[in-house]
Amino acid sequence: MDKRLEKALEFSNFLETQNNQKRIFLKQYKDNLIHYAFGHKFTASTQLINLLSVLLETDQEQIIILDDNEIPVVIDNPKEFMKDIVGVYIFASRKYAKDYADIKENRSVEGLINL
Amino acid sequence: MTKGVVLFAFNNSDIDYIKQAIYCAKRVKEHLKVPVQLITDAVDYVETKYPFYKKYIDEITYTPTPKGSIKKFYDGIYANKRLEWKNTARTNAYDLSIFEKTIVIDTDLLISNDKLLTCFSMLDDFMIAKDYNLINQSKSHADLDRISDSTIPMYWATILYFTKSDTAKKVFNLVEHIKENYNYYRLVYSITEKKFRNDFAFSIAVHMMRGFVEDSPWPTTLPSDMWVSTDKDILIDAKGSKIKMLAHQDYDYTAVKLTGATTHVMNKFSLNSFIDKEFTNE
Repeated sequence: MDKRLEKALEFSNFLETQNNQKRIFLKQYKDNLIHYAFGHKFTASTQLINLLSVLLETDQEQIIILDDNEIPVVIDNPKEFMKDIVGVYIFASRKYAKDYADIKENRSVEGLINL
Repeated sequence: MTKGVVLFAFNNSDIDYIKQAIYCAKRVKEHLKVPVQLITDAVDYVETKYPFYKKYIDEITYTPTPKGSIKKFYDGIYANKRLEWKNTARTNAYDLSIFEKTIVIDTDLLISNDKLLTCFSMLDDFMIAKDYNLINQSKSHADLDRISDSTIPMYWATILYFTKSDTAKKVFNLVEHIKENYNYYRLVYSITEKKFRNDFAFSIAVHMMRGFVEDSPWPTTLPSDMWVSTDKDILIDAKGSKIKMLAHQDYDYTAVKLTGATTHVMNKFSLNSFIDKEFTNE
């Protein structure tokens, strides 16, 4: 095979693998943002974190929020719940950032798969 | 026992589902740390061929060989075989499970995290997998989203959760009824494939029980990820929570690495070869 073609195909293969890994990491990040509590599903989104901070400022002992299925849930300890949700967000985003940085550093298919 | 995982395994002439079940149980013990019940028609085979099975399987239950059908099994892009597929026993999971709270999984599901444990603390009596991710993110499989183009969303019997409850009993009774009248339901739901599939039967049951609508909060989303490969993809290695595969393109493969991702390995041949290596030191 022509060397120029071989090199181009090698790069194409690398890029394809890298893009697939990036998409996998993004999907895993979104999965890792999901938190189950009180039998309900919540996504630790920036929207939920913002809502919780605003509600915490009102000093209510009990708050009501909607879960991912839009079912109202009574939260008896909003501070603890906020801590859990922020914890989930921090873990998911740190893991995503690390995974992303790792694939950026590797410039070969073997490197990407042996991470 | 109050909670655990149930596996079904019925060998055919080429694929050792029992071997897969023991490996699957090994991963269940590693990541979920709950008891495992194996339901099979070949109890003697388990005991003689895999004497170490007790490390991973807590209970074996005999059930007669279920009715099978012929299915084409791929081994990567270029090879395939037509083999018997004995998949109709899953509808008995409710009656055969020894657990109060049961997770049923396919033997070719490589558990790689503890997310499924959340099931046991939820209030739901029945949950089934719906959301999935493909290991090859550049492909899309519309056929995995709905049971047929014009009908209902697909649910995956690959992962089921149920409690011994009226609701779960109703689901399993309905699935049994659908299985007995499968040709009728197949036509009603425009399913072209003639073989009975648990995924389809459970999807129809869910659709009927939620009032024949798509938009319903029941059943609750199952708290687990599920990464799906096809039988044209190839499993290369699985160590702990790291899985390496080759995902097929049209006439080629792309290398894929998954970490902490529960993965459905549809290529039974590559899974069996990999397990052979894994069991060398057992």
